[in-house]
Amino acid sequence: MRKEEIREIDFSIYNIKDEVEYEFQTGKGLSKEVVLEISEQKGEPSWMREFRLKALEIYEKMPMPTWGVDLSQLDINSIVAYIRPSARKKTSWEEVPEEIRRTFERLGIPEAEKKALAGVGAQYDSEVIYHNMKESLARQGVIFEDMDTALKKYPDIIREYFMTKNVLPTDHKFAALHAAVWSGGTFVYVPEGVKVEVPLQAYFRMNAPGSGQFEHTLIIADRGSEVHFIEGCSAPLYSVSNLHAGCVELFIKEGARIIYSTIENWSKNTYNLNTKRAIVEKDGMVEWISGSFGSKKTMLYPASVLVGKGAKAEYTSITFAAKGQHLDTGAKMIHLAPYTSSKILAKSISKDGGISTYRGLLKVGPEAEGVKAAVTCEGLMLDDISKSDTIPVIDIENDNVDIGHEAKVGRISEEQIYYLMSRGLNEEDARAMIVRGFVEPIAKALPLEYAVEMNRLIKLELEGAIG
Amino acid sequence: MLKRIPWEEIQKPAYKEYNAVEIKDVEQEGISVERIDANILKNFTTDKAYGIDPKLTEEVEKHYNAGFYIKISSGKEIKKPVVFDYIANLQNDLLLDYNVIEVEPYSKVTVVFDYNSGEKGFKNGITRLIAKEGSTVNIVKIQRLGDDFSDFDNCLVEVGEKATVNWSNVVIGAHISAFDVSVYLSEEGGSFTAKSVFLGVDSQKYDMSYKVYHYAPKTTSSVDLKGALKGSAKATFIGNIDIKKGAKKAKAEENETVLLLDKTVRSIAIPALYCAEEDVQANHSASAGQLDENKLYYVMSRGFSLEEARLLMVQAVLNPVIDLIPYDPIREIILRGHIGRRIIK
Repeated sequence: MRKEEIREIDFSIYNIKDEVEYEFQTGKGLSKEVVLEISEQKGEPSWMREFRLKALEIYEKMPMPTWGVDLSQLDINSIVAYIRPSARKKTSWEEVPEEIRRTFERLGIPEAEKKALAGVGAQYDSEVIYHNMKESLARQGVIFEDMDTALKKYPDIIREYFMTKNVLPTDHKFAALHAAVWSGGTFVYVPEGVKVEVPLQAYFRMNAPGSGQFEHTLIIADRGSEVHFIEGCSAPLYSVSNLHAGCVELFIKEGARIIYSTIENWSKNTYNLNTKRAIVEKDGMVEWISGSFGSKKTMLYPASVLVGKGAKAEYTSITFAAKGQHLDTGAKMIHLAPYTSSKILAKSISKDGGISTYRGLLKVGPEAEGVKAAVTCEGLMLDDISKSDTIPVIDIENDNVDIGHEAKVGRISEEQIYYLMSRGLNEEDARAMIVRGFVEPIAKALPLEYAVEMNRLIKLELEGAIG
Repeated sequence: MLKRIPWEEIQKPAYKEYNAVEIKDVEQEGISVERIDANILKNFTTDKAYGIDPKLTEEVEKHYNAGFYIKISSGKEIKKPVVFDYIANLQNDLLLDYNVIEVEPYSKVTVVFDYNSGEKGFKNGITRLIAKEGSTVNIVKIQRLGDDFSDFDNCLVEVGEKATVNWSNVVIGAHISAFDVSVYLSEEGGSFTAKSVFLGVDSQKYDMSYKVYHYAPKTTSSVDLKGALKGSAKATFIGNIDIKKGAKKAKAEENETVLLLDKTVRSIAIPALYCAEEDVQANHSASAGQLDENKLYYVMSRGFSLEEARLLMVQAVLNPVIDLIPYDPIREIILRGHIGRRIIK
């Protein structure tokens, strides 16, 4: 019998640590002083300062979650909440300090911007250091700003939408933490009827050891508009824990559509405790596409709240849990209006003792008649020391629905290998083909350049060995 | 206490004796039946987790007022099903039954528990099944208690090497009804199959769970639950498949289908699948929806009223399981009486 070995993702390009000077950083831990200091440094309006302080109070009162991944090793008091590189935000890569620019060049961001993107934001630790958008979009009224600038330029919109009607600081402990110490992130507004043909991208990089990144993404797609937003995340590996507790709020107005793609590749010392939610109005649509490869522990359940008649949501994800990783992810689909529909396709690969958990919620409220929803979970186990768990919750409160859920777990079957080998492939190629086929639905959902990027990222190298 | 159960709605009569059980077809060769007592139970202590809630299992362990120790001798095939008819009535409205079924190697038996009648009361019970090497055991549990009953059933099933256990729950009675069946497949080649149905009407609340633990290689399990909900009935279904490391070549499947007959029903399903072994086949599926309009239309075009057509289609879902009840009189009562009466008002 030949045994296959699937190598882990090649992290070397993500692992290069930069010697960057930091202009300012708060001390370790979390206190009223730290929060005040962040607000002070940013020169924020007083309402935002008050909002942060209130969130801190909520954070302190809330208990740590006892379900999901093991968080006992996470010591918030050893995390630096805010750390600012000595670079100021630029709109041209030439002006970005060399060390930081090199990092993003290695990650291929400026290159991608030229080829395939309408706009790019790049965040380095707590601050956005580069932000730029094609002029043609600005002329159509599209706003693409980093969050701190947006707070200064559009205070009324931010005050109305920022964690007031979508994700609330009271939702859970890490939402409260985020509200207290958030920094950086992106604000996008797409005016009525505008279709942004090429994707916008934000890239988040954590460089400093023992730091936290708490970026806030707020996207408002006005009636009939369309936008595709891509976020990428990475960090070099350190021995101390890093914490990422970002927050994404999407507002999708009547007939609008947002595609939100994430390629997450945090280093394996990162706790990724992220919150994402979309509120979808009449005939609107949200599409979540997510590839989770990195982090030590992840808890992330993007939610789609379908509040308008005919709203739609799709969630397509691949999770790759290798040695030492516990990735606990899934999707929440909340149907509150008639004739809404949702589709979940969650795939996972576990190897070398990695644990991948799908945890999801499908809820249909009493008013949501004529709902159609389908959930499919597939787990691929590559050895017998890994784990693959599926925990779906289906909660239905009326009769006029059509709901289906399916899940299966298994390994690459001998029959499939046998069949492919009978067609002239060797075993190695056969296994590789099956694994590629397994992740294909996700690759297909991404724009071509990113699918290639993801394939490169996965670099699922199959290597034959007689054993 | 388990949050899903509305404990505040439960009324419990003061402690009293229970004396209304009837046993049928126990006079067969190879069976011995004794009333349960502490002397017997001391041989059956367990550290395995099971039950709806520890408070409920504790209550039965301490205060049981009924129950039997049923032992099947090795190598015997018991032809006729053994029926335990637990009747509830005004005098016997508190039932705390503790049953232990021990099936010796290579024997075969079918045991039916029929909890029925009464109007108002409280039932809480434990059933332990120990199916030893190569045995085949069929268990049918019918719950058709009165409309104001609270019913709890805690079951622990241990399946021996190459033993086969077929299990059915038929849940149609009581106001609040919960059961948990915890199954341990700890020996190679053990097999567990559950085929169960429920019908919830008015404000009935059901909480049903199967937890199947695969510890040993080549163990198989299949859980198939079908049901219908009408009025403001609520049903929660927890189905855990837990494949432990070492359970190579295990096969597990789980399926739930719920028919939703009214706008005001509530259906919650959590079909969880835990897998720590690669060389397995495990899958689960759940579906919920209305009766197919085209089928309804067809049946009505043949002269049936809407209510009759609905009944026919609900029966089409439930009957395959009810047909498995090996005892004719009960099956007939359920088919003609209980289901019809509840769907057509």
